[in-house]
Amino acid sequence: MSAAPQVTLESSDGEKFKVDKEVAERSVLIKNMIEDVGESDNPIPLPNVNASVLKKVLEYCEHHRGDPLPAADADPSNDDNRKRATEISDWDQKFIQVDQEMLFEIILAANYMDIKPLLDVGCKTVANMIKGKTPEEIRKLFNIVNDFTPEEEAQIKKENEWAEDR
Amino acid sequence: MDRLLSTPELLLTIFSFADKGTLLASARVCQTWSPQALDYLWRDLDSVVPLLQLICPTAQSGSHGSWTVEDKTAQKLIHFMLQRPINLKSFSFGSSIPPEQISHYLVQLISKSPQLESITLPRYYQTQIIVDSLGHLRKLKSLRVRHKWNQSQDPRGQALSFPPGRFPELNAVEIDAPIPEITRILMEFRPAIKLRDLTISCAHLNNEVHTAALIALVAQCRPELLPVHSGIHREHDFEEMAQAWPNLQVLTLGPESERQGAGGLSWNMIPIMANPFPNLEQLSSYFSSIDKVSFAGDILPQAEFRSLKKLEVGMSATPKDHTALGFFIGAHCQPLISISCEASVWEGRWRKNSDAVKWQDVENVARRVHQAKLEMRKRWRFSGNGEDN
Repeated sequence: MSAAPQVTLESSDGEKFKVDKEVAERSVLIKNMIEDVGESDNPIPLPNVNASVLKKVLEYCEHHRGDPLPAADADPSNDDNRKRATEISDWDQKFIQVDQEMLFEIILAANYMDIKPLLDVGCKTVANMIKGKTPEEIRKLFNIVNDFTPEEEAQIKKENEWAEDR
Repeated sequence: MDRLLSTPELLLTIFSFADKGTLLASARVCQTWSPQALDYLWRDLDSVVPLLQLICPTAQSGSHGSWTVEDKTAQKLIHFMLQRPINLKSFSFGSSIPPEQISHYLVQLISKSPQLESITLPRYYQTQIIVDSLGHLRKLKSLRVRHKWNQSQDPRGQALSFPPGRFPELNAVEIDAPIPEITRILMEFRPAIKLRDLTISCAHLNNEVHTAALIALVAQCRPELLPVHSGIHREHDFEEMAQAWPNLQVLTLGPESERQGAGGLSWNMIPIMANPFPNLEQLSSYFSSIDKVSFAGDILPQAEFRSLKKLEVGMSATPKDHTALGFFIGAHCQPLISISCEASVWEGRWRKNSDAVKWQDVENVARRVHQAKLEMRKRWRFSGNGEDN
């Protein structure tokens, strides 16, 4: 049995990762790049992803290498996907237990590299973090500055009161 | 702020996993989050109330306080209406907002809801522009126009006009209007063939000439009409009706009175109505508890409803002797009769009749009488004395 084809990825800080092509192709971005340029020994540059994040992302891809690929046209804003489950599998749960900075980096990388299942895991985690919190708690959590006037915020609350307790 | 938390597409993905309460909190976090969270919050509404509350904060409370549409809010409403299919199937709306201020929005709402099957509006919202937009609804089956009869309370009421050829599916109409207007509306509906359910709650039916004229008119316009809901109570009227609709199956009378016992149909009308309506299956009315049942006690009287299976008495109180009443009802109905007193169809709301237990007794007696009648008929047949059928 011949060795599985491999590709080399290069992080923004110049570190090189040699991985199975099947693992790298969990990223739609990389899959498309390989299809476009054909197989070559040159490393594929990922200028938006640093080594520590890329390592995490590849860990995820490695674990999920055999999973069926999601439908290409699945649009996250599509209404059909609106009521998606917020559950996360045990392995993913453990995988995503990282500090906030790393979590955000992983989401940004998943978005950039177009790895939809990983993007969903990250976004679900953020959604779970803000679940049930007050606006002030959310601002504190993410260090967001409140740029509303009290009147503006009250207006939003009033216009959307019907959504409370739902 | 972190790049992640200010990227609209990523915020949208995050919010796609959030519940409505979380979305509301998120909308208040900061200017960057607000539009994305609101976008999801308003994406699938299960009620039209939030929309209407935008233009009228008092839409639910029914307050008569004045209100103004803020430009910003109105724009938001129009945006939501135009961006998203609302697809209401049923829409019932009452509010004190003047029609000239709201008809524009209602028309938009209607045009965004091509699946509308049933609509109930206060009569003062029946502006021609709204009626015209309703006429384009291919699936509209029921149109109910609620109207406070006092003209001074309702100065904005407009005459309805139903252009022929519109309202292809309409089969239930509730009209509360003066006689000339009912006349005109019924004439306009003439080409339609599907009208099956007509409710006339006309406070002007206050003399026999009017009533008779209306019945004749309705019959002339709508010979195929089977159920009739009307506020007529007099012997003469029933004869007219029976002639107009010999095949009438459902008859709803009233409401005559809100007060228990007062007004309502006299029980003594039962024998009078029985023979003229051989196909009547359901009779709904308030019954008067004041008059005594005049009944000789014949278990097989001359007058007998041949098809009546259901008697809806609504909030009617039972007369004192409910055994006698049960006997009377059982004797005058050939099929097994069931008596319902819980809901009243003509009130459009549910109330519990405090006499429910007594009405159950009445029904039980009527059912025993039914059994006894079957027995007697059987014996007659065996002894060769009875009717052939």
